[in-house]
Amino acid sequence: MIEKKRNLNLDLIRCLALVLVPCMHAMDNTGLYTIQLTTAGDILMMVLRILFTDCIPLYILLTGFLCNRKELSARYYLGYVRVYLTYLLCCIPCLFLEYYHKHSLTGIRDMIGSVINFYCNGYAWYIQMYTGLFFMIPFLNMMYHGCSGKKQKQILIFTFFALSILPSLLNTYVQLYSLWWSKLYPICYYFTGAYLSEYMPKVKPAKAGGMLLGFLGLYSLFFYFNSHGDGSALMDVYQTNWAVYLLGILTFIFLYNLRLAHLPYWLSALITKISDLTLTIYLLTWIPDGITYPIMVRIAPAVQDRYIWLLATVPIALISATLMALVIDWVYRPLHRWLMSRLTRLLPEETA
Amino acid sequence: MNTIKERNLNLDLIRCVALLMVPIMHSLDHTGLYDQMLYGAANQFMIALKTLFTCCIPLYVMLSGYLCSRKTLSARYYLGLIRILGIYLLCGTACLVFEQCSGRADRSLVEMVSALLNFNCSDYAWYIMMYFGLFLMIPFLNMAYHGLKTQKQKRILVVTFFALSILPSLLNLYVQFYSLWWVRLYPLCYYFTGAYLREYMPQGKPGKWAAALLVFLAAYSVFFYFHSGANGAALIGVYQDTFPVYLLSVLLFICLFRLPLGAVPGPVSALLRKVSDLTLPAYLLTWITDSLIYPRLMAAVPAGPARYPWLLLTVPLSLISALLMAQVVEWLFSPINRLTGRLAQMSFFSRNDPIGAIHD
Repeated sequence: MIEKKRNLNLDLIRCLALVLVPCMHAMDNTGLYTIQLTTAGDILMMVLRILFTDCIPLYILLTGFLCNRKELSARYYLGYVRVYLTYLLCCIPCLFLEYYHKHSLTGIRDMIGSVINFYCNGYAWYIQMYTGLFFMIPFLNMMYHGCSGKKQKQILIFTFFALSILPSLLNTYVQLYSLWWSKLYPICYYFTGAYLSEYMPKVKPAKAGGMLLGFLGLYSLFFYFNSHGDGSALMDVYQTNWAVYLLGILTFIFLYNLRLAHLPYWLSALITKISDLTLTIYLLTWIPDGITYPIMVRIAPAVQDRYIWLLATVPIALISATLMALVIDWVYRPLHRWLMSRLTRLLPEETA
Repeated sequence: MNTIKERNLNLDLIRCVALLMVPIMHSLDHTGLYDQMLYGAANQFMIALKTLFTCCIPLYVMLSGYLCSRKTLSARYYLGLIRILGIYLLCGTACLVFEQCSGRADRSLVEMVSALLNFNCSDYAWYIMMYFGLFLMIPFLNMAYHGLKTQKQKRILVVTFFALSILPSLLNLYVQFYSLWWVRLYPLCYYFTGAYLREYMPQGKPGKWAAALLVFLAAYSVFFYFHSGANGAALIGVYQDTFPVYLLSVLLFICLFRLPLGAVPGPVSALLRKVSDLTLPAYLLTWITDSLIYPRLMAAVPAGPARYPWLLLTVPLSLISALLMAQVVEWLFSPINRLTGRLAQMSFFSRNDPIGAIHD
């Protein structure tokens, strides 16, 4: 058994990305995008919302960091079983929620359609995107490793940045740059992650953290004045936004350089465990979010009154989703083992 | 010292056919075909024509894959952008001036610049917007393609991009059950298909490929008629990212590539080469000629089958006048062509690979 030593910093990044997800979804549910940002609470929420959009970028950066050595082989494709099986199992409780609680699905046909089309869970678009990325990864790796040297790799990243993320910067004041290829943004993050795996800057965590906070502060100020405090402009602060791209990288570098050697054992074990369950927990937060936020909106009709509630709803979402994920994991493990043993037998002798 | 490789006339033919198909496809947009029920032989024939002519853009992108699949990352490669963007700027400006002078639009100078930068200056400029991105990606796409060792692996590459971008159109025929997230990647699917055809062009007489093309086209047209309930609006959905267009484009590409052109008389091949050289500006400039012709046709002839015979006149008129204007654009552009040629001689660009060798 040659198992590589796990890098706890990567687990930490995955866990943090996971925590950011319900935080960001919490913002979506406060009605922040419908108001004029005036009070200190509004401003704080605005800054946090900008920071929390990092969640998906962090995941894709991690994918690029970890998967850039994967090669085209039959065994590689078996890796998709983990993703899709997790998704399917998470769909079961989601279907109950949609059918019995939200009444958004009408019958068995609708239910099946919602699973196949990734709409039984509002957060499953990530699986839809990731599926395509997964199938492209062996080819993306050839592009990345086909580049000879750091400079070519930088041109590769800059090309995909220019096609997918640069428009958000150039179109800040007037629309002057084409958006045709903006859906390529996951590929830009992927290559950036691959690049970081080779050329991670060595910076002290305090300095990296300082840069992260400094940039967050500056961009928040710029955003506030540029949007004239219009909350709806926050909807454009998305993964395709240049500021989010930079924040994603800075957060990644900061967390990667944190010194975790002296972490108590129980804490590193917890980080590792949660890191293993992130995909399941991420998908399952759809359930507590679907239950708690309608209640919150009823109890606190004014947007500003809702902020304080997030201190309750976010932990509820995370903890309940983690508990459900443990149950699902209990079903998933034997099922995955059984499926993989069957499928591995079908594999030809190590051919490409 | 003439080291220019001998030009393959079949590739010029493919480019010319693609160019011809563009004004035909655009002409159908002005017949009212999409606003009516497709009853009657004339309408049914139009289904086949619209499906076939949608292959124009796919043919162009496959040609790019065929011709550019050996390009590597170098400073010289990026010089190629000068011609594409330069021709675009000239033609785009012509379109804007035409709209302004003919009273079709009233834009301020800032709006004009913005229209040029955003590829909004004409309805046909979206292709440059797409191609600009493709151009930037090509050296890296080639690394993926040539990084694969076997034909089987290259097939998996093409199938992967097919599955992400074009397969949805097949699987979602009856119910939406396949994800559309990556559909915008369809140019990459055509590009890799073109690169694959360069290496593994199937054998076979052109007659055989033409027969396959016609049988598939007929079968799909019948299927479309019944599946859409003869609804003309459904024809708008027959687009580059749909499976019949992909298959037809591949068949057409192979068929045209396999045509024996050895006996073509000299003037005809010279004409083909000339038109082939003018495709980019001619394509962009058909926007002007189409805008002049079709409003008149629409005012004079009622929508539907009565307009169809007129296309035999309007399409050649639009294409030939656009080609003449394209020649003027080419003349205007020739100093820049010369400059680009001189730049390519400069040591920065002429060194084998300033950014670093990749392949070979």
